[in-house]
Amino acid sequence: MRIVVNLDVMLAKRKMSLTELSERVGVTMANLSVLKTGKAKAIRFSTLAAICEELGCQPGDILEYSDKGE
Amino acid sequence: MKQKEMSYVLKAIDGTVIVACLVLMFFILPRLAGDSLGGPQVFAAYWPFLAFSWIGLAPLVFLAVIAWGIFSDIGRDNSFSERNAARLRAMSYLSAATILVWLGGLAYFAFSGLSVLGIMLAFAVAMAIMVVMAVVCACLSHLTAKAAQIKHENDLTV
Repeated sequence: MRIVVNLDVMLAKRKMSLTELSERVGVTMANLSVLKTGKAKAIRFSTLAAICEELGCQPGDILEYSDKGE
Repeated sequence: MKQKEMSYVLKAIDGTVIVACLVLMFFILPRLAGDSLGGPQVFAAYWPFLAFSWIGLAPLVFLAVIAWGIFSDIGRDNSFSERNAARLRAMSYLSAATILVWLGGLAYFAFSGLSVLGIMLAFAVAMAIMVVMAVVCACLSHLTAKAAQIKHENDLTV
């Protein structure tokens, strides 16, 4: 995947656990784990907006384009 | 009807088909060839008839056994999967194989002078059904594979 998900970095910066984010955003732990581990194929704008709102960040802080190939 | 109930009903029908095929293969047809047609001493094509019957019905039994797996997956709410697409593909090939076996058998009996119009017509209808079955299974296999692909992407959308 050429899009790298930096959710773990943002969680560490905000000192928030994945469980807490899951409860605040209303997305299941399983789905957030899929996103965190980079296995997700797509992310809904609504999910991205909710995560950004809770973490107080921009989408670019969570998602990053990498040119290092697959 | 809920998926679990539907799965049980389909399995019950499938199981009945398997048992019916086995009874036909090992009880009814040998008796028919033995009692009605005179047995190996009188009926010259006794063993070819039985061999043709067994080889011709075996793919149907395998087909029903493979279908059992699909019905189990329906009960588990896992209908759209690559495995089920592969199962349907296998069912399509088995249907095609059945048609070829029946065609070969019919050709043998026709050239041996053992053909009976009623039996030939019955086989023609059965073969037409198997052709439809092969085509439908191939089509469903393609659709299931595509649906499994979409489901996989949907499952990984957060």
